[in-house]
Amino acid sequence: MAKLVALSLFEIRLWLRTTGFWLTGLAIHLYAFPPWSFAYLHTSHAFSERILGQGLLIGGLLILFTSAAVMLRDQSERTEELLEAIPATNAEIFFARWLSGTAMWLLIGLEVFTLAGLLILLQDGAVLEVWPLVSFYIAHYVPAVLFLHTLGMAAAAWIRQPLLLFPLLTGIWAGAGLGVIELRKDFLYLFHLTGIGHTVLRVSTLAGIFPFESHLFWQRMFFTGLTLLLIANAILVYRAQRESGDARRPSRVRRSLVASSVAVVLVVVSSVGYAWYLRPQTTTSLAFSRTAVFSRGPDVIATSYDLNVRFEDNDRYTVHASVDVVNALDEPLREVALLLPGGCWVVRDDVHGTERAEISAAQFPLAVPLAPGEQTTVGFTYECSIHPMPRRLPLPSGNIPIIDRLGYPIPPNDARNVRRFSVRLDAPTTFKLALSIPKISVATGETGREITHYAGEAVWLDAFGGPLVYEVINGLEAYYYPVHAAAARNLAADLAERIAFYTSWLGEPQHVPGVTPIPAVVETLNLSARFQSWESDLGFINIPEWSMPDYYGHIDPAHGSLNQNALALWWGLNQVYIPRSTTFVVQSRFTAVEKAANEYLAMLYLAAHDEEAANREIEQKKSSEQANLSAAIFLSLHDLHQTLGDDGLKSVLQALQQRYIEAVRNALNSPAARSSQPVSETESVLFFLRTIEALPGGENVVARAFQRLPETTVNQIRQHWENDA
Amino acid sequence: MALHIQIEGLTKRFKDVTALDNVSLTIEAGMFGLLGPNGAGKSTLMRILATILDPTEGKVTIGNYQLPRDKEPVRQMLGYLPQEFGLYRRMTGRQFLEYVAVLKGMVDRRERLRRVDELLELVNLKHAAHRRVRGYSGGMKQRLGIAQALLGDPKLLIVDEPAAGLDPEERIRFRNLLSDLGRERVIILSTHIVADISGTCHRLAVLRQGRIAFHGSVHELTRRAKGHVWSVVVRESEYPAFEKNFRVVQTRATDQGLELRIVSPTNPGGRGRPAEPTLEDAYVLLMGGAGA
Repeated sequence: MAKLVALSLFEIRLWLRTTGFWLTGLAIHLYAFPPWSFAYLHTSHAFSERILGQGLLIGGLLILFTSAAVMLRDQSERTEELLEAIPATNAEIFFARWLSGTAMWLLIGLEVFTLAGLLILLQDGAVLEVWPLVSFYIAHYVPAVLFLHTLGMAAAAWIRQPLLLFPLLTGIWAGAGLGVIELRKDFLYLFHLTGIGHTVLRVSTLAGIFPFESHLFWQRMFFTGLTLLLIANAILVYRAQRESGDARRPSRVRRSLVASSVAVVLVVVSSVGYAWYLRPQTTTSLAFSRTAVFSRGPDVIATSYDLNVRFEDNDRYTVHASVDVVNALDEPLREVALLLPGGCWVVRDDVHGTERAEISAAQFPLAVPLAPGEQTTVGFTYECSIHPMPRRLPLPSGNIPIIDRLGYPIPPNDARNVRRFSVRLDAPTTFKLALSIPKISVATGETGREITHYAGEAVWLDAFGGPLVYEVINGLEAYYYPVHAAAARNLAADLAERIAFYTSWLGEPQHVPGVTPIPAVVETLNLSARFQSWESDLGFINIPEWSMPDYYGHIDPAHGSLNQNALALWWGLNQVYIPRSTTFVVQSRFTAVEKAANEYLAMLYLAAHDEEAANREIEQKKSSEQANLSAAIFLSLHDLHQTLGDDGLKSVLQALQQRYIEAVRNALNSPAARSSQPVSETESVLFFLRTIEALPGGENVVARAFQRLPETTVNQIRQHWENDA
Repeated sequence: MALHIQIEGLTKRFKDVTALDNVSLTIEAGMFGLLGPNGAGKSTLMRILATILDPTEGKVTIGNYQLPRDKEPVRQMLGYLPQEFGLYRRMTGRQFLEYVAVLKGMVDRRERLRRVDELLELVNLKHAAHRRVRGYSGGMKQRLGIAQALLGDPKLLIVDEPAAGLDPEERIRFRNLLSDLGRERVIILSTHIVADISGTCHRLAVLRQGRIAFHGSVHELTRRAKGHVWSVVVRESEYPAFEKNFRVVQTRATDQGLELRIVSPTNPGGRGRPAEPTLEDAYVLLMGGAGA
């Protein structure tokens, strides 16, 4: 042992003289603290994520390379023959190098995380939390880097040809990180366990571990086993001919076999354990087939939901549901079928339930057949798992359950109609749930719990819950993660200001279920796979956790996403097509006119803060007006504003918004309108021009608008215009 | 007890090439020379004795140990300087020696430093001990290599072509050093330079094409050449004919013409005067016997 320690200390000196080591350190620092965006990192979480995600982006590959190069050092320095005759075993040499490398990589990590803490302290308004830094370091950085270091050394012990080794390591890195390797669905758990095929290059996911995350425990065990296996194997393989003497072979082989066996057991047990953890939840008897359920048309339309939700523990919640359904068939209905999302299952004995793939289905026999158009209420109890799906959780943020949806039953081939929801949530006070319907009241429940009542209309109930803080900031409801308090408050205040500004032009927002969000801003944590982009949901203003560091200081008044989120209260989120009928309806009615109206409003907000920037935007529009319809409309709005003042502009904007909302509402309430063709640009432009023309003095604005509009548009509308005249 | 090395029927094949063919040797304490032209199999034999290569056939006994079975205990008493070797260029000379010392199990720091200092002094590198190895000359690297081989006071020292790259002064110093060391241990010195052995070794083996051509004392090999070494004075115009017909090992210009030293079983041209043979003459005679 004394020899190993002394040897390791010397190896550390050699590491310190290795170019690769310093290059790796430099790469980790440069990417972890990029000078170009340093000012945006204000929290321990943000820094930790940056270190693990970006810092190890190139750093991880360099760790692989450097560790491999250290194993090939004797080859490159031509010291092999000299050292081979020295009375040191391969195990001593390998372990000394492994230990010294481990010490050096961990030291770099320690320094980087400490530096992160210091940098946080130096910034005004930043929140230093030691525990996240410590736990990210211990639970993420250490295992990830240890694994990479071991993999690099083991690979070099096997393959001693640098021309083969280094391209291979690069291939492994790219393959694991960039999703080049795809596994069959049957082996999905292996995908999540190993990170192979993951589409985002995030090294921390290679050994993404938090002690209190039960499924990640299997990951940790898996990688521990794999690391041990690599070490045992590398010692056996590394310059094996050097120890071909058989004097001590039995004990050496025995030791390696024991280590390998332990490692194999760890790997197998962790793989099986992880597969077990992700096992499908079983339910009661199989009453009917999924095929039968889906082959029918919509039997019933759900019109109202009364959901009593209780969070039992960190793994599941129970729901007592009453669903009002109307018979949508032309004949009496003898049973009602409802589907639950994956991870939910029926628990009442008198309801037949089954689970097919990710859908649970329940069938309710009716004592008296339900006549066509008649309504009945179906009541039952079901449970949902907090982790219903095997998900990649790149950076766990805590041990309190996080959900990105609330499981509730829907009829097969759901009509996606507007319905009434009433939700009573009984949960620990530390758990806050944001829903896409208003919060009505909060009452104290059992010890440490509270009961929150939500009610309102929605097409879909969007939800996000977790260890959040709930606060009303300048009239805007905000749910945020505690460490981001400063940013969240700043953001909510900014959003409230934007909303107030747009209200002054458009009037109070008219909430349209399924189209516009409720005025609540929710920080959606990284744990959720659903909420990783701005426009990913409709029910509330969604701010992904990864974007929070942007809101600590001054927020750009021209911030496109914030403007879009604020304006969504009037126009809905309409930039991305999501295969939901309501979204399609919204999108198909959002023409260049509405787009230009939004852009003009955003420009007005900008002008209130930075007039020069707003003027530049107008000038930019002028350069593209002839080719761009929405630019021409934008400039016509500007012309209108200049000519008829604020009142003229307001009346036109409000008319446009009113027409748009009515069109969407009609479409939502009428199946025929839903399937109709999208509203044409021509109709919208005609409406826009006629609205202006109706204003006193509007003719001149219209005349100039004709000059601005692209020729094709003018040709299309001229005939209609003249006919109407 | 003095170390004794017994090599019996040693053969080493690399695919189709036989580098050593049924070599048998006995090596006692003191300096032992291994002589032979390049490619004779000297380095292969040295590498087997240094535990780096395993023999294809045959038996090697070093003290109470056998190779390749007992590599580790043999390494414990071994110091080895390969023919070609590198050093960690980023380390200083002292650090490198310390590193090797730790590898050899010298974990006591004070003792290790003392021994390293002694060896640096011994190989005349004390002044450069704190310089990085990459700045060393070829001779300095060679001396550092010798120093590392001497770490741990090995009972068996194997040095393969150690004088390569040394200047004449260093060469003499090195020979003297080996002679001193040889009083306490077995030193096997492999070289193709006869002078390196003649001044230091008592016993030697000559390898030729993987086989032992001679095994015995230096004196014995030299004596074999008695009566086969001649001194002849020739005119310059005669020189080409002599060089063509006889093995000329030395040429010296004199007032009478060129004085040639010739190794030949017969008196060259009947004009030769018998000369006292040297090891080099004997070696040439031995190798010439095989048509060299």
